[in-house]
Amino acid sequence: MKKILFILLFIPCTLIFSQSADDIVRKVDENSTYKSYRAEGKVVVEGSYGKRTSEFIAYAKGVDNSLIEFISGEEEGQKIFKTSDDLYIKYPYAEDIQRLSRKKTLGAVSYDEMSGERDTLKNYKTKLLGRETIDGRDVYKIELIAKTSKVAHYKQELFVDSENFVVLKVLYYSKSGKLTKEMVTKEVKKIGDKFIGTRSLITDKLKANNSTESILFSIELDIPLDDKIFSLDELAW
Amino acid sequence: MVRKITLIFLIASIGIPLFSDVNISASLSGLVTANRVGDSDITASSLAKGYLSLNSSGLNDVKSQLTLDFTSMKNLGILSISKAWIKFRFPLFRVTLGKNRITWGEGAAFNAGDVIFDDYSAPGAGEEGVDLTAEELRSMNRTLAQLIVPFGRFTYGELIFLPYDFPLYIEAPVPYYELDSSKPLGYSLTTIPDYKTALDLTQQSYGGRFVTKAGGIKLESGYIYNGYTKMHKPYISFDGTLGVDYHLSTSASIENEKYEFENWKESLKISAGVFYLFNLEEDRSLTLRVEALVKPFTESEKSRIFLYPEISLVPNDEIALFLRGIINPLDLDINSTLGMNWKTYQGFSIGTFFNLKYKESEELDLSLTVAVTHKF
Repeated sequence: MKKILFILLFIPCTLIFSQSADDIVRKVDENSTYKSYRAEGKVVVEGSYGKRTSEFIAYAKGVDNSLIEFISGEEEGQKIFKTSDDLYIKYPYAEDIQRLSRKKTLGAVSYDEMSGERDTLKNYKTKLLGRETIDGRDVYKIELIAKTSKVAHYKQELFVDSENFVVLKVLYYSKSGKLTKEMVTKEVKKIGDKFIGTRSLITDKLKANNSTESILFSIELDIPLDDKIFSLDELAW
Repeated sequence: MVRKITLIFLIASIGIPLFSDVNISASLSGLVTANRVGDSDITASSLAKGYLSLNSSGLNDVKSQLTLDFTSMKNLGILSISKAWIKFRFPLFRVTLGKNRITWGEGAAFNAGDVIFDDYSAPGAGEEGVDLTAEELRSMNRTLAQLIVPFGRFTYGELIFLPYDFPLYIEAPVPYYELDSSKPLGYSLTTIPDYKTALDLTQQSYGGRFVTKAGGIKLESGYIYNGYTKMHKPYISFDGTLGVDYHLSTSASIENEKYEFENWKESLKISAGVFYLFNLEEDRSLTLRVEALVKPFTESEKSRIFLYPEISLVPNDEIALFLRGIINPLDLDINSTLGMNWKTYQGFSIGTFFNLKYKESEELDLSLTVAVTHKF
């Protein structure tokens, strides 16, 4: 959950004014990587015909292992296991595991985003555009341009809190320069000595009444998680 | 006395939720179909179908599910149990007992590695066991006992026992009587279930498979012995990515003690497929899938190759469009479906499917089906 779970992490630190865009993005990535975590939450997709809600439980360990299980909604029973190479999906009706090497989307949030894409500098070129103020917070405005076609968005503008490196807003652009989506962090909570974005809203800028809201009910960081959780056997269970 | 009963009832009521955490899900579909074969008049039919599924919850290491399927058409109703299983696991292995879906091998439409179900045809499925209007193209369940031993994150071994569950019948003499008489007048040959054969240990099937990952490729190899047909069925499957996702499977059915290649070459099957997903701008996606099934030595020359092309466009998260079909390029038989699925409210969708079947020796078969589904 690049935008939902991970990038929205806050680590108190002293601001270094001379940081480059790469340094800031690296800081965002570092701050959003934990030894492990377990979270429960829900995704509310709003479209022309009302809202569709799916609740989930997510686990992650290190940078490359994550597992999401949907526990309600149309995706109930569906599990997504992501490794550094592949994305595995288990559909409950089929008792079958499918491997995907590309993305599949749930509303405005792609599975890759939900399961953590934390090597931003590998996939994007960065540029510091300046500093602004959002809701009284001083933020860095950073432009990300995709180096590869494998990422979901060609261009992004990140608004990173200059004190805690929480991403407060993201603007997503198409290759033609059209603004397609906006993500806003609506709630940040302190968990232990870290700050986590626990509520965010992604709005589709091309369609009316179309948004995806992500809410975390609970999150535990740096807890012991068995490696077996991140296996095909657990996915099939 | 009344107090005692009330107290027992209250205690029991408190205790029940601890042991009966159940998730209930259900789906109802209404289908209307208009059909025209050749120059005949258009006919119309409708039916309702659905399922009710009870899933246990609350325990991490024990799961169970009971799923009842029903189909209702005119005054005919069919109720069946599609899933009834219990799973449990210990630190070193896990076990599934009951009736469940099981998938061996790789492939959405064609899967030569599916040695368990190659004797079956899915309900509603056409040639090669594929239902072109279904979310899951091949879907069949079996009664089984399964033991899985994980050896690593991507490696596991599996042993399986498959009791005979074909609808097995025999012709048997059944007595008939005159009214008010216990003495049979004679015997007539009637079709009855063949329980004796079905329960015979030598008629059962069993086998195993080994799944692992090496060099980014999922490797799967296994074997089933079908006790009823006395066939040995080995298979091997590969699944990987080389620019596109691909899979390749092959299997054969070898009759007991007839191991020479000439005896089983006709059963040799090879399936292969590629899949690619294009992420288009503005959250749209386009997927392409092409699969082929080849039976290089089958007796019928015109049944040696089948193709399954599929193109699917998802313009947004509410609508999905697809065109898919089974094509026999040797005699130009085509069974194709153009479909649209529109998800509106939570759990509610409207599907529209236009099906075209063309066979050289038969008349053109056209049908249009509208299906409304509510999952809750």
